[in-house]
Amino acid sequence: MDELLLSKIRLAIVAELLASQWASFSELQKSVGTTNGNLSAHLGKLVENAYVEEEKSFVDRRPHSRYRLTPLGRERMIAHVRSLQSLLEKEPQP
Amino acid sequence: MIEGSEAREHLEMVDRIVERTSTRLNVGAEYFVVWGLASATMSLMYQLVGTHLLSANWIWIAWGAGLAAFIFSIWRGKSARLPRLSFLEREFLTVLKVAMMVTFIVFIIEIFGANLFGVIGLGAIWSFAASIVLFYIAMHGNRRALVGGIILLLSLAVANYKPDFVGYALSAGMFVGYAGFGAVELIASSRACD
Repeated sequence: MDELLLSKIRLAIVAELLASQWASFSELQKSVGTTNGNLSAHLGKLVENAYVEEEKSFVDRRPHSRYRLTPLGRERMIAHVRSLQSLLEKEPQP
Repeated sequence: MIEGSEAREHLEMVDRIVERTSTRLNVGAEYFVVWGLASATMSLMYQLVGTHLLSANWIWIAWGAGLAAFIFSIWRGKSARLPRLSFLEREFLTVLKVAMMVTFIVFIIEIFGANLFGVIGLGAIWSFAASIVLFYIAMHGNRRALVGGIILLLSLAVANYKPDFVGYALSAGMFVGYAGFGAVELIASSRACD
């Protein structure tokens, strides 16, 4: 199990980025549905651990950040999902 | 660690997100309008000039239309805000690029005088490539694209059996099937935003 992806918000961010090339901060905020500060903190951790790549630029003179999943992030996400699935397989069925 | 119920909840959330993000296919409808109109104008001009209904100078309108569509594409591409592309959209762009590249290569061959297809033949190749693009969109649940693709193929069939009207048939196909598809998509998306 990937410790970093045990957080539901970080897992949602990585899942959002899984099928996208780049996603802006506002797009992620809209999809994940959390506050600016919260999203920023979680993205910071993902960037710090090289799961996500951040690119800062200016669009219409306004700062703009966009994010994409790194090959490491993709690999960890797939491994994490497999771990979750195997945990469920071991669980006794209700 | 994580409990079984929590693991299930996390997996369900991942499934929902992946399903939503990977099956999205938003095509740039305005490109279809612009390129459809430009292609229709080009075929029509070649027909009218080729049958001497217009003087040779009118051919510049055809080139102007192509150039305008090209400039629009560059301008629109630059002004569009950092698109968030799904897998499907990336695949679609690859199909579109391949279709345009094939037409462009034929165009270059024509410029160097190989005269493999003739100018109208080039229009037919472009119509066929455009129909493949529309059928690709149709494969992902867009019926309007299916109709557009069929119209383009019908225009090719008419062009084949009515050689004197090749330019008119291809032009009509591009106007209705390709530009028409883009226009209908634009109307549908503006209604969805209301």
